[in-house]
Amino acid sequence: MARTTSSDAAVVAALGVPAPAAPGSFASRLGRAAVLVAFVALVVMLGLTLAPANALELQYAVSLTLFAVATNLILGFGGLVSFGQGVFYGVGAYTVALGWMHHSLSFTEAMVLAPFFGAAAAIPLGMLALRTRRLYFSLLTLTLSQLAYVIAENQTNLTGGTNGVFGAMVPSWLLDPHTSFLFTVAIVAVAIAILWKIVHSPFGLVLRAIRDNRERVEALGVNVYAHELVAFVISAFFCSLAGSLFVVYSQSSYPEILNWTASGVPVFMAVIGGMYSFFGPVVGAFVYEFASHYLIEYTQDWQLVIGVVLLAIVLLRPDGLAGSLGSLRAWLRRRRPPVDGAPAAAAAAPESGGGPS
Amino acid sequence: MARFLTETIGTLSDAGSLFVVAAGLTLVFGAMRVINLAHGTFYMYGAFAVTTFAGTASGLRFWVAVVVAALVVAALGAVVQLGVVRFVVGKEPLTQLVATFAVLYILADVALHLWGSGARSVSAPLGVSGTFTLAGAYLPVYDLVIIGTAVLVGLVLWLLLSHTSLGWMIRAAVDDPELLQSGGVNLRRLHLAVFATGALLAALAGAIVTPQISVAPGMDQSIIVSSLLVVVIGGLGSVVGTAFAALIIGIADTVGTLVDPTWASTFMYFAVILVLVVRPWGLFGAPER
Amino acid sequence: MSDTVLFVQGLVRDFGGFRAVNHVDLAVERGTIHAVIGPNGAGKSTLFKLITGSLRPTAGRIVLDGHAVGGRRPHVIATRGLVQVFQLSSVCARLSVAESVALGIIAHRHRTLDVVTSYQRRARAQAEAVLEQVGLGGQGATIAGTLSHGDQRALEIAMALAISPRVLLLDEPTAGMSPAETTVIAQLIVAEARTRGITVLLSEHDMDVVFGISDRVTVLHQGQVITEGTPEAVRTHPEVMAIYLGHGAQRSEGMT
Repeated sequence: MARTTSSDAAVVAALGVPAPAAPGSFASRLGRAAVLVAFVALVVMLGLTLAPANALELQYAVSLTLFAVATNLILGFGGLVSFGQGVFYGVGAYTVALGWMHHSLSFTEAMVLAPFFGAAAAIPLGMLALRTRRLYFSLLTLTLSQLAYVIAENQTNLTGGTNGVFGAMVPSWLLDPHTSFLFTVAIVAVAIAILWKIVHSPFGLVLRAIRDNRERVEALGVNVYAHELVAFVISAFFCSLAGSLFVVYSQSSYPEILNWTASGVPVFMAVIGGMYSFFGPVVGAFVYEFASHYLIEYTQDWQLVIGVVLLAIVLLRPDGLAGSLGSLRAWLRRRRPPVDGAPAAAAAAPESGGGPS
Repeated sequence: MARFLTETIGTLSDAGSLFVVAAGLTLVFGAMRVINLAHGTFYMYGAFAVTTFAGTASGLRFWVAVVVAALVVAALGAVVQLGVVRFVVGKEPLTQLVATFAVLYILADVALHLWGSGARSVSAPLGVSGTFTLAGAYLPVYDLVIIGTAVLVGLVLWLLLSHTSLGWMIRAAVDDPELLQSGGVNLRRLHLAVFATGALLAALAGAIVTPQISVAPGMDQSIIVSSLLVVVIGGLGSVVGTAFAALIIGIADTVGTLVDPTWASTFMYFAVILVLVVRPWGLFGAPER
Repeated sequence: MSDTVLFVQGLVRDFGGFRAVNHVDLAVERGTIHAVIGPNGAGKSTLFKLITGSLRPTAGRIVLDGHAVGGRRPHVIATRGLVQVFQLSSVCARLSVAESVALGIIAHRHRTLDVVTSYQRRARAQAEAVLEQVGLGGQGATIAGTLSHGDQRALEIAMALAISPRVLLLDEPTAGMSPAETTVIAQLIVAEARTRGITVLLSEHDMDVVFGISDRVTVLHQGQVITEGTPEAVRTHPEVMAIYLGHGAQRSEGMT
């Protein structure tokens, strides 16, 4: 019964020879990295050359890409549809704003602490919310978001109430538009790089597996609840970081940034861009933010336009813009004859010759 | 005693209107397994429609306006069902939530075109305006209208769901759709009827409360949250649970206001959290799959 | 001589007033293939769910390699060395084949909370060896959800093998398979048990498979154990023959 191939493979494994994983080949990884560097360079150049008002808008969009990617860690990779990430975004923003208002924290201290506060808040909230599943999870996180909003709105002594907190909470060196822009880009770039690393770590694989089939993962000896909680906390950490960048952009914090529609925004960005792709939410954030910002100049019906876009994507292109790009690429590849050993051909290679005989 | 009576009637009235909206939401979920974030939009449209149809005249015309508003919005519900919702039946929760949220966004802008961004109001029709006294308490007559409507809606729904073949079909639509179709039932038409009825209930609630509130954009987003709280507490799909939950939310809100006004509006959220800690699928719901 | 790896004693599970599993005793010897058979509704699935921890027993003991595991959560039981392959195909549809097996390797090495290293890539490389064993060599880049039904079952077995289980629990491993696929899976099960010393506990409808590969057979009927013994003894047991009405019991060409 023993097959020769298994011992061959064992040798291969023992020698540590990597499997011929076609899509992750060195060349294609290099190509993707080049595209990424070019994209970041383009954004930086735009930010430094645009008129201040437009540069500021770009800065806001950049900070939202982090919010979207952080939310997508649990959405696209974890399969957890949270309508409550605005809570953590708000914790980040309010940490900086209230630290300034109550003279308890310097800007730097607050910026450093903000993501940790968000993560700390995520522990009890995650423990609670993750007891529920699927739709109930979405609705419970939505409820938590609304609760946070109501608290921020009514605890006037602490939070400034409905009007929120406005003021010179950002240090003077950050008031220069270019500095502020570069500061935001740097933090977002580092944060997204860390999230990239997490998604491609063993934990990231476990998370994607839980998304696809939690019973299967549990049967392999993994405590699904605990891993979901860790993902929830990591997501909250970076959502809070994004929230603290909101203060750098707007020099304010107010209750509307944590109500349920605000919590929906990063979800919509991920859906538009493509939640199964790591950079899909980045695309989605730019599209969403520029659509809502520039549409307002031409038409008051920006909600209508965004609503139609969302509907079109969710009904016709469930994998988002990134998914469409993928199918476009596959279509192009099919039209062209496979010249230089296209990955698709490698994947469809004949099954091992030494099968059972 | 007087104070107690005032609070009780107020609470019942709030819970009553909330029940009628949430009953529509839970009815749709029960029959189609779709959670409709645009449900509050139907409520807002119902309220706005009354401000249009009732005009300034009170009296009979108000009641006609309520009925017309509910029917018009039911038709709008049918359009939404045919245009959007039928494509997301059986899809992932995310798809349903995003699609129906998109509807909320679109209809919110349409409402701005139809009714503007200002607040509108309607006065209570003659005969049910003003107050009456009971045991020394001055009570709004109109509260009784709302409570009566809620009780009526609850009774009709209960009879419909547990004593007619329609109710059986609605339950079977989720449990065993193949059986239903092999029995000659047109599932799409059943969904259409249920969704339009859900919209009608939301619009009815919105229409009936107009004399007590100021009708303005944004109503859609706030009422959907309260309705979601109710159906989550009650257990998605359960009309009886919805009635209980509406009462719980109403009581939590009233008690909150009496205990500490600055925390008042958080009480209902804590009620939801408390219930879900004990029963993650709601009081009268069943665990998901 | 006797080395019991999985030991079940007086196991009971009630659903409301209905007793699905009624004082079941079971002793599975290390390194054997042990089949549980019985007509539909005999309680096989419930018994398996109790053993894997998806259901809590009403009464009774489950001992896995000396540890009492009755009523523990599924992931705890899995880390104790018992891995199940579900009755219905259940791969992680969006993962690649290599990633699916790497998942098992990561779980086995307790690296599931590792968020910083590139261990995922190493695990994927190691996965190739396991995939060769189940006949999926070279398919590492294929997306699991696009595999054929038979290949998905093979992948699930590969995922289970990746965590080096002591006991492999297979619920209807050949359900819905073509005869050719059934043969492949049956050979695979035998190979794992014989060459790697993995204990296999399986439930199965296909009597050819059961009597062809099993060392011991336990027959369940209405929640109770009717008999237990070698395939030959069970096949000729009068009560078993009565239950199955000779269905499939006579024909069984040995597969080993």
